[in-house]
Amino acid sequence: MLRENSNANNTPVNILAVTNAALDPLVPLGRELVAFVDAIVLLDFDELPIARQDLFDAAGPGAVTRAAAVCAGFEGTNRVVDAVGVPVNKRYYDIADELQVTIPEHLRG
Amino acid sequence: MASQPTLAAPDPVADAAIASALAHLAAPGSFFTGAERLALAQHARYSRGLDPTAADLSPVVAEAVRRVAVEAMHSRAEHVAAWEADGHDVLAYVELVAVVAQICSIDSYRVGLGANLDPLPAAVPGDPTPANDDRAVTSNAWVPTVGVALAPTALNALPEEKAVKDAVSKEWYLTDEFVHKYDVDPGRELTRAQMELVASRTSYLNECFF
Repeated sequence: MLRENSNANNTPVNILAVTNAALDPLVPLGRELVAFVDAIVLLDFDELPIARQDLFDAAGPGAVTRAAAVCAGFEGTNRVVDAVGVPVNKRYYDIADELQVTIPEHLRG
Repeated sequence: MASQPTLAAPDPVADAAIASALAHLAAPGSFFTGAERLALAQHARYSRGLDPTAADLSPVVAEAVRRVAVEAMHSRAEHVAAWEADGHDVLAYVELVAVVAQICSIDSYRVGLGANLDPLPAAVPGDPTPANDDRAVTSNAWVPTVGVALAPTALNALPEEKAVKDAVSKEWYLTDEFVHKYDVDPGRELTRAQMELVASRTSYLNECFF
């Protein structure tokens, strides 16, 4: 959806940054958002206060809340779709190749 | 309700949705009592290292909770088959997934904000009452769904579980109606691109292809 949004709105994005945090996503606040998400999902309580402070300093409390909210929503949805075996939509196969990630055989519809 | 952290903006609408979700979590479901649903949530927290106390669950149920909470990406059809072979209804597994996913997402939200976890409410007494959609059949996923199994339909065999999840999700992110409408400004504190970056990175870390 990141790619689809970029295409629809003609805004640049480096989608490879999704799988490589060393890259610049080319999205404003991209690095701060990636660091914040990493700390939440990995439950890294050493990095989390730093990442939260950095995002707060760059964009304020609303950005912290929204980023945590979006991340949390996908924390739930990811678990649901994987736990019940929802197959990956074939229209995402190309982007998986681009990201150099392999869709497991059991999730290929 | 969790404490309000200093580096995050309050979101009373999301907090209200979470309070409703927690109340639903503590009430009897289709297959589990309120106390049993709370035990699933408690064990999910334990499995993630967010609470030191494990719940008293049967080994099969405890393992299912742990797997969904910690490594859902390693779920397989064989796990669902083993669940049924142990004498459980497949829709009870769907309820377990709904409960575990809900508490994991709420907890991740509080963790992100720097808030304390929400205390689990007291269990609502009563027996489970099946509230499944009779149209659900197993098609392209491992569990029954109404229609093709997609992310928005994954829980729709149990409409109440789906409704509660959706109520929280729409406050956090976007309603299903707008998820693919990229020309619509979501009116959030982050742009659509920023939210999609957060979503994509979250899914990548969870080894999820959604």
